Amino acid sequence: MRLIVTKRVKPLRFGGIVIPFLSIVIGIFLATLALYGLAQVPPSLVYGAIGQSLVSPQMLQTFIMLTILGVALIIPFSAAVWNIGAEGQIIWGMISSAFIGLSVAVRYIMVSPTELPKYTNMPGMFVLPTPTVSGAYAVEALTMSPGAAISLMLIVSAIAGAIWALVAGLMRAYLDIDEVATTLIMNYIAYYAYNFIVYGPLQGITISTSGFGLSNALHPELRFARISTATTATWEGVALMIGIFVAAWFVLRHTTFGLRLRILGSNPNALKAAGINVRKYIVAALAISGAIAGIVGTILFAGNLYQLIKIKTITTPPTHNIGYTAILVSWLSMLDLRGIPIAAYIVASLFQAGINLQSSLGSVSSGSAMISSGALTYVLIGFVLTTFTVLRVFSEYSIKVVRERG
Amino acid sequence: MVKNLVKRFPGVLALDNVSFNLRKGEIHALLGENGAGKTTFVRILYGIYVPDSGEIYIEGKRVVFTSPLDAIRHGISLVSQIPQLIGSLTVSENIILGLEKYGMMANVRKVEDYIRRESEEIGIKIDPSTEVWKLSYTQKQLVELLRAVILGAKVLMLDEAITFLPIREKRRFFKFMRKFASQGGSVILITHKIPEALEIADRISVLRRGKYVGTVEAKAASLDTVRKMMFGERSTQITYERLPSSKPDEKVVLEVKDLWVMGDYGAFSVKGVNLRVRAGEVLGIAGVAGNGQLELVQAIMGLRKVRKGRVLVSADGNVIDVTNKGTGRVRSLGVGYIPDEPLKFGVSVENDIEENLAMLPLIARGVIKWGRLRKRAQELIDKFKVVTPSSRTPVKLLSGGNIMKVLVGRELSVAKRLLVAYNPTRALDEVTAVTVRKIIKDRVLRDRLAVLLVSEDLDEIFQVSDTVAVMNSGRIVGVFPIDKADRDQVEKLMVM
Amino acid sequence: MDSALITLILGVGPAFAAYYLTAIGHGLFEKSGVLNLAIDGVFTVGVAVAYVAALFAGTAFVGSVASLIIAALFGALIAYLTTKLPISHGAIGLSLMFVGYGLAALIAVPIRSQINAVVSYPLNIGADVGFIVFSVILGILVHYMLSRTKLGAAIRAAGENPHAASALGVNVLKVRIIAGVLGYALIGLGASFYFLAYTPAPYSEGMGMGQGWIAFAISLSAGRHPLLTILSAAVFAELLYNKFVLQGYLGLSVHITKMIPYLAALVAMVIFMITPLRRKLAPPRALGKIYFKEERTV
Repeated sequence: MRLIVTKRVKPLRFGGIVIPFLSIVIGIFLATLALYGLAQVPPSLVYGAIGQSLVSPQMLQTFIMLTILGVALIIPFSAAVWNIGAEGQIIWGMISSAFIGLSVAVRYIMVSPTELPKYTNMPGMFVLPTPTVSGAYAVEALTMSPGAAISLMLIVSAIAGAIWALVAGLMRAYLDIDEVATTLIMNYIAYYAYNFIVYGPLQGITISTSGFGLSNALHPELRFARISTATTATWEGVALMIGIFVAAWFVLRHTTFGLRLRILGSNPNALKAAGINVRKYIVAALAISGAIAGIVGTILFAGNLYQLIKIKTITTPPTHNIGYTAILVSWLSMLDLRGIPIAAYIVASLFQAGINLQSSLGSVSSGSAMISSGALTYVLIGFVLTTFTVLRVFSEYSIKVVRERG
Repeated sequence: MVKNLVKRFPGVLALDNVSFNLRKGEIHALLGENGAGKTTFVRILYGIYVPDSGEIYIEGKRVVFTSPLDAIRHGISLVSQIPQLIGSLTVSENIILGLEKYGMMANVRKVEDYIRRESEEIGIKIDPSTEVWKLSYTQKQLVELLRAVILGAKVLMLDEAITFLPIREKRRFFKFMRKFASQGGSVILITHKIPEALEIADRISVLRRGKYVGTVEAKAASLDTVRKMMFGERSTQITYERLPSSKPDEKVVLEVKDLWVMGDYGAFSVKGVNLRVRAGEVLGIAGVAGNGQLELVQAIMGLRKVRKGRVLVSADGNVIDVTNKGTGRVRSLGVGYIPDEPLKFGVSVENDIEENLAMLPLIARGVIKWGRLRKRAQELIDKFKVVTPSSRTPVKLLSGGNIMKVLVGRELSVAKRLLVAYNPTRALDEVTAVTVRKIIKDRVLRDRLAVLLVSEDLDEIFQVSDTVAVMNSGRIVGVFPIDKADRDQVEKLMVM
Repeated sequence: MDSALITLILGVGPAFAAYYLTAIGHGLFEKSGVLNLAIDGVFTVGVAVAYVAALFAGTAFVGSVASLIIAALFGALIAYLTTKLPISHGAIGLSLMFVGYGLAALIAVPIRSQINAVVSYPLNIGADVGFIVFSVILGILVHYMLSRTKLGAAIRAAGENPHAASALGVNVLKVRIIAGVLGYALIGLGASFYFLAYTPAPYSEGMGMGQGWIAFAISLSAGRHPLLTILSAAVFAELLYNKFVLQGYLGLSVHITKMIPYLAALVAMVIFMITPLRRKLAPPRALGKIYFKEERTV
């Protein structure tokens, strides 16, 4: 039995829709098989969790972040530059926006317990809930308008993310070092740097944060506004998502830069013969990608977490590994911007499904209830992505099975 | 013996009922122009291609090959111009990979002694434990020969394998070939150098445009008879009307001084070339493919490193040294480039015509004005009669000829001072080819464009050029103004 | 010599074995031209399998064997898919990485929540030395195979230029599958040592995650050379195992100390590419390239 693989002249019709769809269906099926076979998870729970998540408002925030990250990754991926370091870039975005939000945009006033009532309701003042070691209370006072502060946070996080990605970009462009390995390793360096900062320069000053690996809480006026109480999504997040999406659309479709990035991915030789400095494009693609990922860090910090929390185990960073799941989003979209929101929706749902499934497991066997939602999400996402990777071949190649004539 | 081989490739009939026979113990030279079908022929015999029809017989028995391994098993070996060895492995490792009698866990060192003995017998003094990347081109070809012998070759096919070797090395190969033949082996030698074939072969066969022309005994043949077989009656007539000549200006646009460029396999491909192209002049470089023209053009365009020498372009009264300064610099001076292998280096097939235009910094920068671009694309389509559903169709869906038209059209529109073209009318039908040549010549006459034209089609060279240069073995071996260029003489210089 | 110092140096034995074997397994597979991004996922699965198998069989040895086999199956699958089909190595690697992370939890967590026992290899100085010796011997065997045998030449050929290799007579698919099976068997073995000998603390979800990448970095820093990897694995293992001591000596924060192995890996990679070492220790030329046999036309 032999497989004959030949390249199609025209890609499979409707392949762009059929194949992702099929991958999701088959992938979920395989995942359910594994969940049942290895951990006795009833399939009905799995389908229930997925169904539930498709319409749950909780996954909106994940959807927003995945859309933005999907755009961030599509830019280098179109040029065949693989940015696996979104995690690290997000982390640096968080760190730098925390730096602005917690020590540049605010100053701290030490207040004795007796003076406390005066400050408790003063506009612009935010009293940190627990006292400091000395017994006094710390009050955060804004040093600039919230608008300016947030803008500064966004700018700084973009720069931080860009710089972090730039290192890998330079190594690839000028030293030909594979960016997959470098961006990945830099993720881990970023995690440890984060912990260092949380226990160090940005360490909280109150008794509940100092020494516990927590930073001070962000001033309420600097926090992003929640859309409703049912969701963790914010208006600023939505605005950023739309803005970044439109900007990327414009750059990729209406500038020579975007066009050449895409050609870089399919035919770098033609680009060189046209006189383009390919190296600069590689570096730029990674830098832009890192910048956008950095902005996501601000969204996480100012929109969700409001403080930096230490990373307890390397497998549970505050990003919930969204930098990796975003890769799936970009991949599923077949590197087409229009597919990003759809892919983001699906992946966010799977992510949420993991969470839902986890909570519903409590009522079943006690063994599987101990499995974290993260692991369940990995199972779902992993099988979908694997199936997709294999099925994707069909869109560009036709595969025939031939009986070997003896 | 081979009977009636037919092989078709998309758009081209490569072999049209070619028959051939090879005697035991003979050295048989196979000659022909570019595109005659010689390489296709031996690749079929080596199992790389499958013929559409026809049969192959070895010692009376019919054989069918589906892969090179089949051919090797029947004792047929092919050595190409480009060594097929893996650089980071040693000589013995490369050879042992094909020796089926050794198992997976065989120790390479043990085989090395055997290889060493065999190579000494043949007269090749290369240490088998050397890594291949350290070897010179000559040595690599010798290793290929060694490999063929060790794998038990009875028929050795050399496809321009010794073309690049210096004379002394060639003589060594000749010695080896004679010994091989005297021991009962047979050799098919593909070359375009007639004197060589006359010196070493027993018989000479000629292919022309996919058809078998004839076979002669080497002793009975002369340079002229063979040349007539290769080029046909065209060698005394010019079939195409010559385009009006241009009188070149005094101003030199492109100057190449003593250029030395390294090829891909460790030998110099360009050996001290000097050229001048003036405004309003078409300098046509004639030559058989593989004599350094490609590397020369790539070096001029900044796509290949120049080891020694200078490339100078004149712009607005200034002479600018663009040697090794990168393609962008050269292009920015208003230089158009029609490369060899247009699908790989010229256009991006996944993109459409508009995008292929916008790709060039000379056409679009920053924000793309699609409206203007569409108009420009449409102009190109109309001018060159490109057959395409629209200007937004991916180029890969166009026929080869139309892709070429897009490329030529684009480059002509950006070439302000100089156009460097390599086989610009390849894959074009005759009518379109002449149209393209006319358009190019028109730009030369009216806009005083300078053109460096490299072509494997001698007709084209004679039709378009104002000055003809001949390149052979990395050197320019003759330069003639068109009115003094004699076709016979040029052909002679090409095949010396 | 101070006995505390000896314990310090040799105590790293199990850690060394774990990282070293994983690293050379990874290097071996990549030498055949397949970009191996699934390493961390399969490593994590290996840890989970080792835990469960050892628990049920009662001996750590069975844990290692089970882990070895499961990993080898992954290796064969990856080799087959990337060679037979024009699939992106990176995509299949990362996908299987996710699958691995998930499967590991499914395999081990339910059991962990019900059983509290732990089975491990003996932990004493003798065992420590034993691990070092065992893994170095394996490393030497791998090196011998790669550099002196026809199989090794075939593997390297497939990694440099599978098309030329095929023309020279190599069965690229067969050779890559062998590399995948052997390479991942080593990775599985390393993963089992990681759990059963290095950190035999009770299993916790996600155990092993990230360690595969450390081995990846170790292998890269040594140019995928089985013997040179001894050096880089030893350095990394010492850094990781003795980080508290280091901290004390250098006065560095614990977080910075944890960063050092990764920074070292980056620096090592840069050093290669800019020095003449590049030639000898360069990545296989066809690494990660999709192998697609097109009909070659003129």
